[in-house]
Amino acid sequence: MKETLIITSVFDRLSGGNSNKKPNENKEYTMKDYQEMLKEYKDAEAEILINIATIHFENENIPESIRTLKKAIKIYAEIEDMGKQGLVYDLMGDVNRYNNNDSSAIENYKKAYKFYFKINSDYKNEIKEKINNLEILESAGDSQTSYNYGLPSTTPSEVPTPDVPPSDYSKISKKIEEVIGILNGADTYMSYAKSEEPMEQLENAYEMSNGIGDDSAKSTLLLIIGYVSLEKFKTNDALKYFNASLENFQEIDDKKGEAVSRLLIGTADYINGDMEKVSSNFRKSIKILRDMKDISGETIAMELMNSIYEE
Amino acid sequence: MIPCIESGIPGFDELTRSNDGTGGIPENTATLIYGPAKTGKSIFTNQFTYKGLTNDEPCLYITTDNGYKQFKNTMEEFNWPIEEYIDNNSLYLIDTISDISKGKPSQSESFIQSYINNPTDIMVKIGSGVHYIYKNNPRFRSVIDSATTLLAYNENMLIIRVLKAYLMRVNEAGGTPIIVYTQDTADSIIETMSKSMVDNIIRVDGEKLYIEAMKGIERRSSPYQITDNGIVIK
Repeated sequence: MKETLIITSVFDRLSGGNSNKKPNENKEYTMKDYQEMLKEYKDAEAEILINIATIHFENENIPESIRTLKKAIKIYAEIEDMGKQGLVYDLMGDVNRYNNNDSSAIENYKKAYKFYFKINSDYKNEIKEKINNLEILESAGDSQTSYNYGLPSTTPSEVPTPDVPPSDYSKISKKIEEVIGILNGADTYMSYAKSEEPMEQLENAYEMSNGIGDDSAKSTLLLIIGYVSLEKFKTNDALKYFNASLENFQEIDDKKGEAVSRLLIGTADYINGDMEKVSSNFRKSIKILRDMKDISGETIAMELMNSIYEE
Repeated sequence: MIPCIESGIPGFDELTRSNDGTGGIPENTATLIYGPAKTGKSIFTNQFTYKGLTNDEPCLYITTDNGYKQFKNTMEEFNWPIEEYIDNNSLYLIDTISDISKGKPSQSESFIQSYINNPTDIMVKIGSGVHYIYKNNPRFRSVIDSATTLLAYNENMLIIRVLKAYLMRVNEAGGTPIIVYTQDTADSIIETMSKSMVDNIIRVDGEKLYIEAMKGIERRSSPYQITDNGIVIK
C-alpha cells in the first residue's frame, strides 16, 4: 500500500499537472530536474544503507553488513558516483579484514583502488598501502602486487597439485557438468566452454555479467571457468574460482548456487587429496539441497559423490 | 548540423526537419519509441530496419516479442522481404524468444539464438553482433523490439543496466539504436529511467506521433496512419 502511494505520488509529479501540489506549484520541472531529484533520493538511500550496514557490523552480523553494503554499491553504480563506490568497497574491505577474510578484503580494496584511481582521489595511496600490507601478510615472499580488476587472481598457491588426473576423471567430469547444469542459464554458459576458445568466451561473458550486475550469471560463470580449469588439471586455479563463486552465491543468498559451489569445491579438494574438506563440503551441499526439497538436485549431487567415492 | 539517417517512414523526415534542412533520425543517437499496445511501434522500427537494409546500412535486430518466423512473416506482410538480407548477413538477428523445439532455422553467421531470461547471454550475443556488423559497415542501425518483454521476464533494474550497456555499445561503434517499449507496462520510475538513457523520444498513441525529444529540434507532432505499406505521417 505504502509502495503504491509512493509510486502514485512520483507518477503524479511526473505527469506534471496536479491541482493539489503546494510547495512548488509554480515550478516547472524539466527532465534534468527529475533526474537530479532521483539522484539525490538514491544517494540518500545509499547513505542509509551504509548506516544500517554499520549497525550490523557493530552487532557482529558480518554477512548482513556485507549484503547491505553491496546494495549501497549498486545504488552508487546506478548514479555513477565513483568516489562513493570506492568508499563502500573500502568499507567492505575493512569489514572483511576484521572478519579475517583477507582474500575478500584484498579484492574489495582492489575494487576501491580502481574507483579512487579513476577519479584521482587522495585515498588511492592509502588503499594501495592496505592492499600491499594484506598481500604481504597473506603470501609471504610474494611481494609483487598486481591489480587485476577482472576475475579473481589465480596465482599459484602452495597447495601441491597432482600432475596426473585421477584414474577415472572423465566419469567425474561428466557428473560435474550435470551438477552445474542444475543452475539457471548454466547450459547456455556451458556451450561457451565447448567453443574453440572457451576461456576467452567465458571471461568475456563474466565481464559482461559483471558490467550489467547479473550476479547470478557471474557466479555461475565463475563455476564454469573453474570447471574448465579443472579439466586442464589446474586444480588450485579451479578452487579459487569455485570459492569466489561460493562467496558470490552466499552474498546473493542463492542456496542452490551455494550447494553446487560446495560440490565443486569438494571435488577439487578430492583431486588435491584433501579428504576432510571433501566430506565437509559435500555434507553441507546435500543438507542445503535437502532443505530446499530439491530432489533432482540431490540425486545429481549424490551421483557425483558416488562417482568420487567409488573411484 | 546534425547528420540524420532516413527513417523510411513517409512524412517522418519532413516532420523532423530542422532549420539546417536535415530530417530523419539523428545518426549515432539513441531513440526510444513508446506508446500503448497496437499503435504501430514495431511497424515503425521494422520500416526503419528495412530502409536501412535497402540503403546498404546493416542492422542488428534483437527480437524479444516475435520469433524469427513470425518476424519474417510480419515483414513480408508489409512487402519488406528480409530473407536476402539474412542470407547476405546484412541483417544480424538475435532471436531471444523462439523455442528450439518449434522448428526454427538453425543458427547461422548472422542468425543467433539467445534466451529472454538470460540477460548476460543476450549481452554476449549483442557484443558479438556489434563487432560483426561494425566490421562490415560502421554505419549501421540497431533495434530492440521490445524492452517490455525483457522487463517482464527479468529484474527491472538489471534490464535498465542491460539497455544502458546496449545503447553504449551500439553508439560507441557508430550505430543508431532504437528501443521499443509499451507504455505503462513497467512502473513509472523504470519508464523515466528508460527515457533518461536516450537522446530522442517518440510517442505514438494510435492517432498521433509525438516527437517528445529529439536532437536539434523542438517538440512536434502529427497524425499518422497504419497502411498496407506501413506507417505514413499525414
